Amino acid sequence: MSGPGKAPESAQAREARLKAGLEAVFRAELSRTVTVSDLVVTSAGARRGNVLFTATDSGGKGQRYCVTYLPTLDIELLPIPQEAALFRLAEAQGVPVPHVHFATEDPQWVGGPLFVSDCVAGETVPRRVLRKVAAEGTGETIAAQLGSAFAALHSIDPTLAPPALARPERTPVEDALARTDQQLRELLQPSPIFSYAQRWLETHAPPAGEGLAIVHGDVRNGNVIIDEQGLAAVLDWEVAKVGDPLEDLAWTCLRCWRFGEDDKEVGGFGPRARFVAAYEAGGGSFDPERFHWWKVLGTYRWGLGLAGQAAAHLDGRFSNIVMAMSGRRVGELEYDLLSLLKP
Amino acid sequence: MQDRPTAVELLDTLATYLEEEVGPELEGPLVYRTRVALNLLSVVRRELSDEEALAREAARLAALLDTAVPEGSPRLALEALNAQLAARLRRGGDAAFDEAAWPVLMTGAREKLAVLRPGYDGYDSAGERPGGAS
Repeated sequence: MSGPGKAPESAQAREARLKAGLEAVFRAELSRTVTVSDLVVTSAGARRGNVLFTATDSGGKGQRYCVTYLPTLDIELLPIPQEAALFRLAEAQGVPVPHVHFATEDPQWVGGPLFVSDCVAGETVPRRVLRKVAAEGTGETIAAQLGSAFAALHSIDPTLAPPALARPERTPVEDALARTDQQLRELLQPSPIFSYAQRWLETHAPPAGEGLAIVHGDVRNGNVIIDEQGLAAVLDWEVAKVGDPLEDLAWTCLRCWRFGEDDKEVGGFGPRARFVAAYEAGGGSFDPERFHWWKVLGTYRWGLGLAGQAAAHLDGRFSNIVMAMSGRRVGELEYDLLSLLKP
Repeated sequence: MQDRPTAVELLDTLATYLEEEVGPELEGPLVYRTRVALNLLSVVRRELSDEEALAREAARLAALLDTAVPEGSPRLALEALNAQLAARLRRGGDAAFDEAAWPVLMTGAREKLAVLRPGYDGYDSAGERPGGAS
């Protein structure tokens, strides 16, 4: 037996505690007395929880919500109340995000900070998303909707960004190159292809951009909710930062997020032309050379990320079979990089 | 020399065991992880089946670097050549060398994919570059 508070909590105990905490926080934040039921855990990450639930008023009227919370007061990438503030900023600008009802840092409800938002109906699991999109014929529409969503997000004055959002130290391009150079040095074995890419990126670095924007940083299949009409919501704003807007567009168009739909450059959904046209119609400005540079950077960065997962598996920081497999996926990114860099 | 089953035959046995005996009993996240496990087994199987791969790659890199294949096991020789090539490409400044290196790197990348994920190189992103066609 471990000491008090150390024994792992059973799933039932955790659910009961979460239910009681949510009922109490609805009373405190919204002055509403509700019964919480039908909890569904949508992401079982070790650090962060996303749980869907129904809150029913005494009158018997129930509504689905989503709570995003940290089970402890551990360090957050982006403090949850600021993430909630970012949702509101994005929503006000017309980016499809779940509507946030309240956010609190008070750990008494569920052990750490939390925010409660609408539960948006739709699909999020990548391969199921692509099957649904194929069946409903919404792929090209989604490519355009993603372009519009980026235009709306990037039109926000970046000085309005929540204070904890990362800002570039130098330029986004210089920061990215310094980070990848560091990761390149930390590889477990030298990679000629990654070395070639680092050098190419340095010698082809685009000039300082037109301007900075709030960028989401990880818009791709898996971080969006897709319904019959197409894009219903953009999720997971944890790595948002102030950066180069083209970085955001390029990340969405990496081959590794197409899940086999390789000829549909925009996330496996549709062609680039629809995406860019919608982005420009929404006031965004597109530069194909800069976009290409950020695609090379993104492909390289994800390859380094996979290599880092394998290193974490091997040195015991985070060991499991999926992380081990990551090391043997690096070759896919090396091939994609070389294809993008064909002389 | 070990007795049969050979290493490759043992991997096949493990794969069949996971697929036919363990798989049907599983649910939840274990289904996904077991699929990953099967995938890893097939990667190792393909890697073991091509015993000449390291020597071929060492010969290609040595030719590119205009040097002899170092003494020792093919693995050690290849590690040394890889380190030398990575350092030279990282340093850059020699456009002719970069141009000569690209097809050698691509051949190596394709050989890795033949082990890791056969067919992945059926798509070529070169067409997505500014100005287009590959």
